[in-house]
Amino acid sequence: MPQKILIVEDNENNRSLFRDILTFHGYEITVACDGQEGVDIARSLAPDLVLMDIQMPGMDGITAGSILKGDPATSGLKIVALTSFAMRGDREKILAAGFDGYLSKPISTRELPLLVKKWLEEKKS
Amino acid sequence: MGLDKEESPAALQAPGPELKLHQIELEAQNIELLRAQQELETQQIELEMQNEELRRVQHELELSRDKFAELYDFAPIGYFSFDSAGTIREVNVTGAKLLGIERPRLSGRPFVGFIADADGRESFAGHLESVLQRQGMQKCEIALAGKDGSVIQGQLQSVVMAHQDEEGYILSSIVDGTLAKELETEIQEAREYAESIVETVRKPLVVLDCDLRILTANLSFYDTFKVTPEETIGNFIYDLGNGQWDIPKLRVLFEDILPNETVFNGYEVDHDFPGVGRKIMLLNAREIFRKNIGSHIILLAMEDITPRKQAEESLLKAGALQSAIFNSANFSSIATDASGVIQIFNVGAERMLGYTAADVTNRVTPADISDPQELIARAEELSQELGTPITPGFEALVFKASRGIEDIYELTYIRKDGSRFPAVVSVTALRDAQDAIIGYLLIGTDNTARKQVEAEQQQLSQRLRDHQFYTRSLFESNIDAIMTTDPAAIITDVNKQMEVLTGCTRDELIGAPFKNYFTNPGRAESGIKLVLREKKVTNYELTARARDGMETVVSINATTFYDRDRKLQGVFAAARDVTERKRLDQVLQEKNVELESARAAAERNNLTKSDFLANMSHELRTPLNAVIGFSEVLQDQMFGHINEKQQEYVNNILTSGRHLLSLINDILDLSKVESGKMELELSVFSLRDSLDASMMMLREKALKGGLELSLDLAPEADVKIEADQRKLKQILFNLLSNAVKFTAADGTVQVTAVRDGDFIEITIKDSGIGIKEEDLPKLFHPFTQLESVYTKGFEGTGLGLALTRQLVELHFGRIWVESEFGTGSRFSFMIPLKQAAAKEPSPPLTESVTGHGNTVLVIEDDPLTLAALETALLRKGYRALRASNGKEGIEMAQRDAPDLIVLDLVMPGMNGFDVADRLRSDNAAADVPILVLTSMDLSAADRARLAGKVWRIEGKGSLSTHEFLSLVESAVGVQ
Repeated sequence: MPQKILIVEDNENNRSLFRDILTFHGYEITVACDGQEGVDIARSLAPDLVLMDIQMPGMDGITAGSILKGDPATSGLKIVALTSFAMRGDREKILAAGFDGYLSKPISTRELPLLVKKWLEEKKS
Repeated sequence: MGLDKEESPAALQAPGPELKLHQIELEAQNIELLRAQQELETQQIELEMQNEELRRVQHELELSRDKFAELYDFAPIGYFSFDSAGTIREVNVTGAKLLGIERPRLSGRPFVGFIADADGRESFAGHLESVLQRQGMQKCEIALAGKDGSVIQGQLQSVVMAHQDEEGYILSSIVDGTLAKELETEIQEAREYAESIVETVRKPLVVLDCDLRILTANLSFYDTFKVTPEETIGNFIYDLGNGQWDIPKLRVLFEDILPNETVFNGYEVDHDFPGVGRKIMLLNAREIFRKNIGSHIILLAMEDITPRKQAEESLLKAGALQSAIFNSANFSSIATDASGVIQIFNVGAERMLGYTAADVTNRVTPADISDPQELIARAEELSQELGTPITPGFEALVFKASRGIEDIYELTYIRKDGSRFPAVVSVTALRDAQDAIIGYLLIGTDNTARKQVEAEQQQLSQRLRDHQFYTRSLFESNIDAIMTTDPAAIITDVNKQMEVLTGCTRDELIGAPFKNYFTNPGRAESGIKLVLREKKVTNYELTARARDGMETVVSINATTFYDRDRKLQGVFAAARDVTERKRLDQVLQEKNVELESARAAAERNNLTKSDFLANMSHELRTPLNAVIGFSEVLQDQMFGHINEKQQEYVNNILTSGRHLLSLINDILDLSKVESGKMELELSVFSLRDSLDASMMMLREKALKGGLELSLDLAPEADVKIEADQRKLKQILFNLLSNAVKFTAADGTVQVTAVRDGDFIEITIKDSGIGIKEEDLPKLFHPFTQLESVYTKGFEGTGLGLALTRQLVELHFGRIWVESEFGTGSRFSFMIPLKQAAAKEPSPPLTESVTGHGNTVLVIEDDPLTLAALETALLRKGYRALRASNGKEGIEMAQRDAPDLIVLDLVMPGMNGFDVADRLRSDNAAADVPILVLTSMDLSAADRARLAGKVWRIEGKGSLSTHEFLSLVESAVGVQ
């Protein structure tokens, strides 16, 4: 049974790119377009990994991550931020919100599958 | 008692009246008898007493007869007894002697035979006749012929002696008139002589009886001891003048010495007589036995030697002084005879003038060894002064002295070796008892030193005048109005400009209060007080008002000034006309406001631009990431095969996309730096690791291009450094990628790292195409247009070096390049090992702490300086102690054992010099180094006074905070 990954990303191109690459590498991908949708899906889906964009319209990634990590039902989810560190203090906010890691944009399509694989293995152990 | 018992019974029988009467009669008869018996007894006693008296008288008679016989025989009178015919019956011894014939042979010889002449014989016959007839004493002058032929003139006195039982005879006495007359004369003369001697003797003389009562005294005694004869004669000597003669030494003489010695000479008595004063007497005493009185008298002669003694004493003193002067080597004493020829030439003269006494004595006059020109001048001067011609020789030297005028003058002696000897000479004429000049004494002292001092003084005062002139010139030539005031702010001096400023003359200004010449006297006065308190005031603004009402805004710089003893003299103030400057200031301020608003606007714009760029780059990157990502997926042919042409296009899309991305990234970074948003994330890491990692990223590319990539890390540079690791890698990557990019195959890229003090210098040297000299300055600017030449075939954003420079400078480093077009480039940058060390000024939070809790004591009276030093020390982690005066400072130094003492010199109360002295002599603080901080210009004497006591002396004004802290650090290290 393939592992489930939730991609929360407002940019449609990036969303498709990540989805296609990771699907190619054999993961079961679900996508959400903003923070709120991400939170909702994460709760019902209980994915093995959440890749959360930070800068999104509506509920941003940090808020969404905080909600998930603050909810005992979802606090065990592995959540990794996708960020360009465009804003000052993003790093601190990400770590404070309880994210398990972050991935700096631009994200190399060749590195992404390797990193995903690593995070999932960490989760297992 | 028994009788009483027998008679009692009868009485008791009560007898009758007759009996009783009979008894009474009987009683009375008894009493009568008893009295008669007593009378008899008394008569008997009286008779016995008469007998005794008779015996005594008889004895006395016998005695007197003996005495008489003796008297008769040895009296100086010749006694003869004659019969009525003039025949000698008896003669006494003197009589016999008178006639020169033995006594026995004279009896029976006629007295006439001894009479020298016929007249005498006739007179003698008449004399006898008249004696016999008149029966009384008769006198007669007669001359007797002595056996030896001499004639004795005498007076014969004769009387007829008739005794009842004896035949009468004539008793005659004859006195040798010659002898008696001679004797009398002699005695008279002797008495007069003696009396005149006693009277005329100039020395006091008294004659005392054996009871020490004064018999007589002479005039000199009365004069000398101020007593009258009435007070003296008959008085006990010890009572004389209320007992002032009761002199212990005199008692010794009278009571102990004279009874044994009878003659005593030269007995010295020193006594202070109340009315007379001190007398020193030399006493001669004689005890003389006087036969006629039958007791001793004492002759006491006194010699008043008081003046002699005193003269002796003063002579003794004067003699000592004279000999001291004469033997002194510090005075030249030259004595001459009346004509000037030297007689005495003492050791001082020998020493000073180089002649020996033998060279000059009896040979020359002092004029011969004096400057002849001076003698001529002196002679002329004296001739004019005294109105008489004086020759320019010895006379000129002693002329005044010879007239009894005190004369001290400067004279130049000529030494034996010809050199000149300036002396001050005192000349005295030597006179004999008759006041005649017998010579001259010239006493000279060495005048060389005084002459020198005079010359030096003259030189000094010339220099002083020069200096005053110089100071005055400085004072006057200043463009500022300058004045000095005393501590009470009263003007003591002004320059010309001050006169112009106030419209008053110098005379009007000096002595007037400083404040009078300003629109706000209160503020002017406060200004002076401020100077007195702070010792220095700068740019104190006041408005001067001239007499004509013209106002001038002046800026005053003032300091206190002191005399040599550091005593406050007053205030030195310079007032600069700042009217024009004030106007310019106003304009400048307006311009500044404009500029400030412009700058603020620009800053706002810049911020906006940076934020815009940051946002835009994000917006740009997101789609760009998609472009690159999809291109990579296509290139990887993840979802199916594409043909070669498609592959080529995908590669182009990818390359362009990546270039665009790096452009966007660089723009983003640069804008971050420019907007101050770029921050260093400091960590400590190994320089070698960072260099290795950066080179690793390009190693593959270098290998592809056939380049040799090498690292040369000096051992001392193989250290951990503190920096932003990611940004250092970015710097290295940028420089390395440029080097690799611009170096052709078989070339070399060499990285070297060396340490330079607290800095690391890293150089990336390539053998690439190099850079033209004219392009070098543009190299590190953004969007530098070098593409046309260099980037043909090379990819790059043109922002890399600009960003690199920003990153280096963000680390407080610098970057530079050396290059030769065609042979290669050499990019170097230097960054500090630690970030804090190089920051100047350093923000307090990241200041490196080097104090390590060492204690620094600051002794400083100026609160501002004290506060500034304390702040600097605390920031560096020192423990700072403050003392605002010397006394407090010494106490704290003893109590708190500081590691360093920072000391001001000018302080009220105990100054810094004294503090340093005290600290060095105090065991507790003797070894603590002292750093003197002063605003004073120290003289050589000041420095000498501090030498060896303080560690360093620094000027307050010339020392920055940073330099001060380095000094403190090295001082603490000194220990």
